[in-house]
Amino acid sequence: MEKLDRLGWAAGLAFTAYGVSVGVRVSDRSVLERVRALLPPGWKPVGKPTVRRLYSLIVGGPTHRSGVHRFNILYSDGARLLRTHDLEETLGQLELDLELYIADRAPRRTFVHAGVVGWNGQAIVIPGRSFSGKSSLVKALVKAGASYYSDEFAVLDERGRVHPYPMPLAIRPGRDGGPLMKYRAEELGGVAGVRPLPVGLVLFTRFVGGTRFRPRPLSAGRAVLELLAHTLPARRRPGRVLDALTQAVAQASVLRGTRGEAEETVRQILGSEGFRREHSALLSGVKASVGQGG
Amino acid sequence: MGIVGPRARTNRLVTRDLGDELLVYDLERHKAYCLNQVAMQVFRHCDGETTIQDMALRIGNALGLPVDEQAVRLGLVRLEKAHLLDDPVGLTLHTSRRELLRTLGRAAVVVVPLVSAITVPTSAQAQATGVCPTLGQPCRSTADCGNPSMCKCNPAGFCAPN
Repeated sequence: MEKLDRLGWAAGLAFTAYGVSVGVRVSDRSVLERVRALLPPGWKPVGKPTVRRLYSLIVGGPTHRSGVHRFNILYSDGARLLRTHDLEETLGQLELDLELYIADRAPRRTFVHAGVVGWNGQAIVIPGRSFSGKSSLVKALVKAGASYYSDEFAVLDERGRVHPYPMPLAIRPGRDGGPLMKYRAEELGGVAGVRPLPVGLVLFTRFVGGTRFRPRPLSAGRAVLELLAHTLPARRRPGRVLDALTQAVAQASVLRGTRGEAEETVRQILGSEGFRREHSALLSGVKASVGQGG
Repeated sequence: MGIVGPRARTNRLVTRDLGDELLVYDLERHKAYCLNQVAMQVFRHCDGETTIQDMALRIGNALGLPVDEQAVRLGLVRLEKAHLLDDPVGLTLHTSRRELLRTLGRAAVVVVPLVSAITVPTSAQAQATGVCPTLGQPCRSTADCGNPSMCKCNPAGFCAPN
């Protein structure tokens, strides 16, 4: 770390997000604006020089010597995270590590890897790992009139309410890959939610081509267990995490099952009379009477 | 008075009572369990003094259902397997789980003790995809392959595990 400190740093910033203080310093001032664009929602600059984590980014690129191309190198405190010629990759790694660190260390929030929308004053939470299809479902829900909260994290407070994490919705254009496209809710014809919401529905689902959405209910305890698998600080603060998750599912319906196309699934969730009758808790806010789910 | 019955573990466990289920977090193994009503009752009655016969009777009274000694034994075996008992009880079931379910018939849905478990992931695991989901897709840089902790763009121009 001392060696790093002795290098010449062109610029830097210190900020707090969700109660966690972080610093980033760069060797090339022109990159700092791009770093700012990667910071988590609600970040605020701070003046104090001490932070809990310091990222150091040495910016590479061509040198005055022909044929020599310097590496971009990213450090987290004293540990090297990445060394590559690709600046985009380096910034991507910085964004990912920042997100992970803040989500893991936030003292008053519990971060669950999930997509979230608001519907009739309640949150629909779709836990899932990257590429499980949750972003497609979130996008379809927003297009159908739900308000956008997040496609990355359900940010829970101690009462189990979900707060917005308004990073742009990241969608891959087709199943055959291609670069991620980022959309704001407004670009999809939707709106971004701003108020914290109680959870009305938790959907554990993933896309399986050719299937129809026939979910089964899960009990509250099984739901908390499944949510733990997607909760970042679960090992670090198990007691507080269990409290937040228990509160979150206390008044919610919890369903699990594979789904087909996102638009069809959304029609079922929001539009179908049968589904509404079967899972009326979402619409009425009354806890469904569910047994031990399969 | 010596110990005559099984004793529930209390050390380094975090528990939350949900009414008809019990959540248990094992701080040593980072495993979390959900005990259904019957398993919860078995766990609660493991005080080192209550015998299996007494447990069956008391749990039956508490739930208002006939609870078989074999159901209690099954609960103890499951709790022991989950490391939720202080000492090994060394129980073997006289009947298989399948036989027990058949014997109990329709009531089995209610009176079979269930212990569901997960290994709680680290924060990085909870965030990660576990595999490279864009494996084999054409790419120009690692940014095209999604999560860079899982995937990278290889020199041939395809996404590959990192």
